[in-house]
Amino acid sequence: MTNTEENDEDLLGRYARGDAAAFDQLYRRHELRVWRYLERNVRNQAASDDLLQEIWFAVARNAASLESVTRFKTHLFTLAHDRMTDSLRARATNASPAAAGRPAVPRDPANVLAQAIGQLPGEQREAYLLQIEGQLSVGDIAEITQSTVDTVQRRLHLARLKLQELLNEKT
Amino acid sequence: MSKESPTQDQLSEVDDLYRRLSALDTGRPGEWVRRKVQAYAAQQAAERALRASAKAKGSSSSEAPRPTAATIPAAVEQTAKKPWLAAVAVGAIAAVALVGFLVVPHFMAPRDTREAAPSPAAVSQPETVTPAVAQAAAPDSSESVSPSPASPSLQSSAPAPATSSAPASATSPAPASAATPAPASAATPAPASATSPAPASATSPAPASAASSAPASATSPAPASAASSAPASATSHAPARAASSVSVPAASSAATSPSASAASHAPASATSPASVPQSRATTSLTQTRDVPGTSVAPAPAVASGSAGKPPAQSPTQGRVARQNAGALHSAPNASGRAETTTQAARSTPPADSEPAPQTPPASSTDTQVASPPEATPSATQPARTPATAAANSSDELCLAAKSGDIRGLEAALASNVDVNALDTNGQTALVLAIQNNHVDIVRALLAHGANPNTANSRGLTPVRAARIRGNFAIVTALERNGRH
Repeated sequence: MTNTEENDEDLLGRYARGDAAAFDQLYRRHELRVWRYLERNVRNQAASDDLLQEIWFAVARNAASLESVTRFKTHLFTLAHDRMTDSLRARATNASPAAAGRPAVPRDPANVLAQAIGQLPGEQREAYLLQIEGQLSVGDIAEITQSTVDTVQRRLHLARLKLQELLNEKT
Repeated sequence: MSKESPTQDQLSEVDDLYRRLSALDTGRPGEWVRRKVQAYAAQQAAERALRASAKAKGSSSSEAPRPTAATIPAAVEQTAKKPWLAAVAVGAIAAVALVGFLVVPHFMAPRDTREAAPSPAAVSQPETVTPAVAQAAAPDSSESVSPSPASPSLQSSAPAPATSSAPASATSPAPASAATPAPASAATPAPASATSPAPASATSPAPASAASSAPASATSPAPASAASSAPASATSHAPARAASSVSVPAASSAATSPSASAASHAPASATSPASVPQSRATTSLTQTRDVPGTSVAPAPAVASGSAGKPPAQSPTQGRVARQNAGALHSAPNASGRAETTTQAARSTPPADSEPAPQTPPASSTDTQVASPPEATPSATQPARTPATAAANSSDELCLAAKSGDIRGLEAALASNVDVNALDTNGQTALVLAIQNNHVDIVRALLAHGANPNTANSRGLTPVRAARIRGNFAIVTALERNGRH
């Protein structure tokens, strides 16, 4: 299983040189985390699928230029953040108000979590999801969300407080 | 927080709880997403490998690469393990091959067919006369139908005789030479743009677009496809419905009967009225609209003629001509070319000179075809204002940025154009270069002082565009140049 330990950047490099299997590996490694980040922010499974597809299309298309990327995961979540922001903005302008805030289809065990996450303020939710799903550092999150490290730390702290409160209520 | 503040352990418990609940979450991305992404990735890998192998082979031709057994990349072989990946790769290769077979003949055939057979356009133009015929048979031949407009060479010679026969002509030999290159420019856009920019854009968008790609397109027809589809249609025969129809009027006007030419010349020399030629020209315009494959060549000729002659042209004629040009342009390119065509059309006129839209002159000035190209630019100059000139140059810059033409970009930058200016579409050169992933262009623009924070008319900043495109190299370049 040495392959699984190969880092993201090496896999991307291999793909850029024509190894499609490397891309599969890279995709499987990050697919779920990126999707959860999207789904818990967007709260719409179909939209999350679409966004996930767009993001990975962009990765595949620009693999050659991404070879110089030192932190693929950061770049991947940057892409996810940007696409998601655009999508949310478009939905806010186009969709009816009723549809905008509609939650995703409830799922039994995780429904509680989904609802709790959904009740977090947007910035806190995003920072928290980037950290827990993307496993990114505070600095990376600050870069992605174009804010400062202090701001991100504050958001993370507040997000945890609120989440604890919400989960304790519901569980 | 005003309550008792939770400890760090308590907060980390939240993370644990989140993970536990998240593990119970059965939500997963759709299987179709994975399939599509993997198929797309395999296709991209195959294409990349194809390109790499084509480069390695040193194929300098600009035509689409023809896949052969030898060129099938390693990636495709790898994907062969999975049957669906192989199918995707084979499909992509087949599509490329098909495009190659369809496109290549267009570049090979047109000239011969034009010269060999008289085009229906020529038949539909009662006024047109071969230059040779015009010279030999004089006025009587005005009614004879000739294929002349179809063949560029004939056309090129056409203006010369016409002018020489014309009584008033101050244009005799010089114009002849001048007119000659103009028609020729249909095949090679360079001259058209060089000699008579205004006319080119005025009569037919095709030459105009050719002018946009001027330097490169001068040598080969390929550039047409590279820079814009319009020139392609101009040069090639079949797709040339638009181009041909556009140019037809020009052709008809260029090779009109001696009388017509004389009249049209007259305006040039300011002696006789242009009413006769005008009417003929307009009729020819309308007639030629539906005429399919005629040669493009004449268009530039007419253009030059119009350029040389500022005078009588009715606004309606101008409108008609413009509409013709527009319709014709978009028509052939209905598929995907529309955008590039319109862009070329938009950008080219400025590149040459704005009087472009005045196609009508084509009608009135048909015979002026003979007017020397040297006279053309000077004639067009007066209409050019500083504002339009600036717009033109910024359009040139943006077009070069969009197409990745580094030489064109440098040429535009050398003309002291504002690097951050918006083009007629409200785009900045930097955003266009980013959207088209031209890293070298981006760097060149930044080196010339392009502001990485200047948004286009829709509020899209370069950084935002780069992030959306997912091009990390460009994002890095922008950051180095002080984006905020």
